[in-house]
Parts: sequence; structure tokens; C-alpha cells
Amino acid sequence: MNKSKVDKPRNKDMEIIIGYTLRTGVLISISLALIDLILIFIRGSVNYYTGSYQNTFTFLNFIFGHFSFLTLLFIPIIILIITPVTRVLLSIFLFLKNKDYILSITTLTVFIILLISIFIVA
Amino acid sequence: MLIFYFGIIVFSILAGIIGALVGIGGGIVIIPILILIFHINIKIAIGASIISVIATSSSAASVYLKDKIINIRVGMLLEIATTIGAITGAEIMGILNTTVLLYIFAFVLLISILPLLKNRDQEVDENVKNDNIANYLKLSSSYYDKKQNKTLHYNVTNIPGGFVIMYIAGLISGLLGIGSGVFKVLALDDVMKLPMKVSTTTSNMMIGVTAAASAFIYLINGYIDPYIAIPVMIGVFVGSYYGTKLIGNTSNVYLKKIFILVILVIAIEMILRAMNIL
Repeated sequence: MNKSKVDKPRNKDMEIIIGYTLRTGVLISISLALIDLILIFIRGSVNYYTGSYQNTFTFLNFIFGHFSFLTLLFIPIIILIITPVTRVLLSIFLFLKNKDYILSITTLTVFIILLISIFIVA
Repeated sequence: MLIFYFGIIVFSILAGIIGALVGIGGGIVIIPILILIFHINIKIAIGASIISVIATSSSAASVYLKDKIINIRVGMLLEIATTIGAITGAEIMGILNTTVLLYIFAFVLLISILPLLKNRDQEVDENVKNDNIANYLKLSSSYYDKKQNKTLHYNVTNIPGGFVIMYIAGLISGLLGIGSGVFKVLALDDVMKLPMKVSTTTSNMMIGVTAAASAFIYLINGYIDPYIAIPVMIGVFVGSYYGTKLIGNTSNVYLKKIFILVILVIAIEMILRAMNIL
């Protein structure tokens, strides 16, 4: 039962690179979130935030258009959401580098679906 | 305000520990806690949960990637189904009212417990044959099993069946803001016949991308309140980390059974809440 060498494309370094991407994204996000948490405690007030935005652009403009405490609060959240998206984007190129074209197209499809969720559906 | 906030952090840590120990995930445990104890709107609870789900699954996946257990090819292929499902689910969530969401949540919580009660065997089924798609995409793979101290080769079958279940798993994830790892493992292990170890780890990698697809929709629709999401994400992340460390301990079998009972009680409480009795 040892035919693994023949039919198994080992995506060399791929595991390490995308694992590193995920770990870095999560660590940055959690660190910033911790700072936010401390700031919330220091300020001692919670302004419940409610409200929906028409689309991604109005949201980004609302958050980053003028710098506020809410901007600081949303940054770790956005970094965290973008982390798996970055992993998918990187994988497209890593599969291409390995001449693994079908998987590269598969991953590109996932990336396009994510873009649709961010810019069209949302 | 400080006590309220402190409470959310403590309960998020607890949810993370229970979620990791029972193998059900932190998100599905923290949502009912936020609703029942902290009286937070279910959609805001769902929004906070999905953020914690991305954090815990991504960090777990990075460890399993290093150990080369995850089947990246299978994961990437099925992410097409889970992300489309997640978008559908997130859109439906926006339309549904609170009561209906409570019922659906309680129902999903109850069926999520079922697979935990059965003892899954860790053996690799050698009779599994690759289907055509698996052959074409070279999906069969191998992993190093620490317990048996050898490399185990495995095949992958019934990709279309797995694809359908994965779409449903994504839909549930987007609808309720949970990782829905139980359903992803169902597709990978029971339908596609991947070894259990590969199924759970590959599912972990897929959860992050699936959650990201619905998280942006929640964000734009205003379901992510950072004042709630930030303490929940930190708490569940820390709790899951310690929960995972505790898993190796065999005396935890008893603890696990108690926690499954706790989850059962939570599900019943949610149904009562939905019926307006609680």
C-alpha cells in the first residue's frame, strides 16, 4: 500500500507559506484587538454601534474617511477577515509556480467568489 | 459597564474551552451565551461569533499545515461550494426574523451534538477507490500518523456528494455565524471517505475562508458591532487555545460528556426563548 510517491503532488513549501500567512494575520489582528480592548476599558464607555451601509465603499469611507475611535476598533476585524482571503490569493500563485494549473484555476474561482461577496453581494 | 464587559470576556474564554474540548467549535457555544445571558441581539451575536471563528480556525489551520496533515487540494476545491453557500446563508440571515433564527440555531445545535456521541474510528479505509474527479485532480494523498508511526496513504471518493454537503455546510455557516465544522467533517469523512484526522484538519482550513465570505456581508449590513466582536474574538481565541492543549488528557472523556449535556441544555433554553417562554 505504498504508492504514495508516484501519484502524490506534494505542493512544496506551500503548507509553510500559507500557514505562515494565516498565523501572521491572526497574530497582528489579535494584538491590535487587545490594544483596542484596553482602550475601551480606559475610555470606560461603550457606544453601541448600529447601522448598515449601502455597500463596501460607503462602509470603507465611513470607517476610514475620518479617523475616529471606531476606525481603531474596525482595523483588527478587517485584518482578520482579509487573512483567509490573502491565503487564497497566495495559493493561486503557489499552484501556478508548481505548474498545477487546474488547482490554480480552482483557487482563482474561490478568490472571485470572495470578491463577489465583498463588492457585489455586500 | 466594566462588569458586563468582563463577563463577556470570561464567558467567551469558557465557550472557547468547551468548543475545543467537545470538538464543536467556540462560535456555536458563544452565540447562545451572548443571547441568553447578555441579552444581545441574535444578529449581533452571530456577527461577533463569525469573527472569533476566523481567528480560531486560521490559527489552528496554521499548525496543521506545518504538520502536513491538511489535504490542501481537497480543501481548495470544496471551498468553491462552501463560499457560495456562505454568501447564500448570509443573505438569508439578513431577511429572517429573530424567532426563526433562534429555532434554526437550536435545531442545528441539537444535530451538531449527534456525531459527537458516536465513536469515530481513526483507521484508514483501504477499500476506498478514487472517483474520476479525484483521479483527474490528484486528490489522493498521505499523511504521517504519529500514533502508528508510519505514513498512511488514502484515496478520495464521491466528490459530487461532498460538494453538495459542503454547500449546505457553507449555508449554515453564513446563516448562523458558526464554523459548521461538524457538517464539513460529515462531507469529508462520511461522504468522501477521507481519514478522520485529515477531515478535521482540512475542515479547519476551509472554515476561515467560508467565514470570511459571510463576514464581509455581515459587516456591510451592520451586524458586526466591534464593541461586542472584539472581547468575544479575544476570549474565544484564548479559550480555544487552552482547550486544544487540554484535549490530549484522557481523563477529559468524562468532562466531555458533561459539556455535551451543557450544550443540550443550551439548545433547549434557546427553543424556550424562541417560544417566548423564557
